Amino acid sequence: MSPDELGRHAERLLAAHALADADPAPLAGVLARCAERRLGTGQLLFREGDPAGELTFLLEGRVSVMKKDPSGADRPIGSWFAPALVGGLAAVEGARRSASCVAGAPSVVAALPAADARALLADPGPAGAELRFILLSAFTEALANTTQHLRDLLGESASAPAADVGRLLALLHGAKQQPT
Amino acid sequence: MSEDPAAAARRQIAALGPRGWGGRTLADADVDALLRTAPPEQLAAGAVLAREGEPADRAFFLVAGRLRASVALGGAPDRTVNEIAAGEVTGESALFLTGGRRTATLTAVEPTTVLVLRRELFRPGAPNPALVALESQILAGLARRIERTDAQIVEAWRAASGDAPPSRMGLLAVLEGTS
Repeated sequence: MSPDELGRHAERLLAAHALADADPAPLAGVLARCAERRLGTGQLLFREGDPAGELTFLLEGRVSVMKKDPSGADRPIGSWFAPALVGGLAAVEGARRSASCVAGAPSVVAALPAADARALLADPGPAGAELRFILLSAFTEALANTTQHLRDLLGESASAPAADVGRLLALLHGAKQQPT
Repeated sequence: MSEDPAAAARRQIAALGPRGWGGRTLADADVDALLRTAPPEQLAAGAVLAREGEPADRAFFLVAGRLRASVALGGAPDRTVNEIAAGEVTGESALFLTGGRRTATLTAVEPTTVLVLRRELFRPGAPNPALVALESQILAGLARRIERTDAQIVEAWRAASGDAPPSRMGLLAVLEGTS
């Protein structure tokens, strides 16, 4: 991928996390260190329960998020659309994938080894700062949306609320739900 | 004569040791730089630091004491969803989301000191090593909450029969996981 393309992807990723005014060069430098992968529709990106060995930036396309239901079957809960940080929990030592991801359309991802991501997150320089902000913003938004939805459900009545597990999981994973 | 709040906070931070910084050791100069930008606030037991529903534009690094986080749910008595101990950060969604509101009321359980963390401090720039350590600590805490919430949603899903929705009790457990 050319430096111009990396810069454009970095700009889009930053804008998606309230950093439209940030310098894209540090994040473009991070993307340049990543392994680029092109996925065909239906191709597995990672599987629920596997060690989270990479932090993945979805640069183009869409990936479907699936979670095992109580019977053990994969159930789609939503999708991530580019630009997005996918599987951010890989930034945490020893984390495992909490869901499976499969390309829902031809997609391009940039994958950073988890150990490199953790080293970068501890770095006070601008690349570390931008990566920390993106992760903090993504995690905060996911938890805030999940909490708000739970509070809406629990505040509606004292009787058992008609909660949709898929919606809760989609919010927690930062995925968008497809219209049903 | 009462102790200067910044000096008291410096002493309390020193007592926390590396656990206040995610296991890192910081130079005194870095802590002093943080205290200049994040002023300490002292609370008596029972004082309310932030109220549910208020606009949220700052977070708090608890350097001494203890806070209770409680929520009001549909007219029911306030429910405690978390207790925050010295060395932890709370209210962090205010730092990374704009336009948010407090999702819980924070009340001092005992005499408590917090550093007030404003959103502007966390914009990428030339961060103080103390802020980098706090960001790393916040990140690890958020990741733990996401993992815990995920496990509790799955547990509530398993406990419900068939495709039935999770019980109210199950959802309350999930809510506590997010808090």
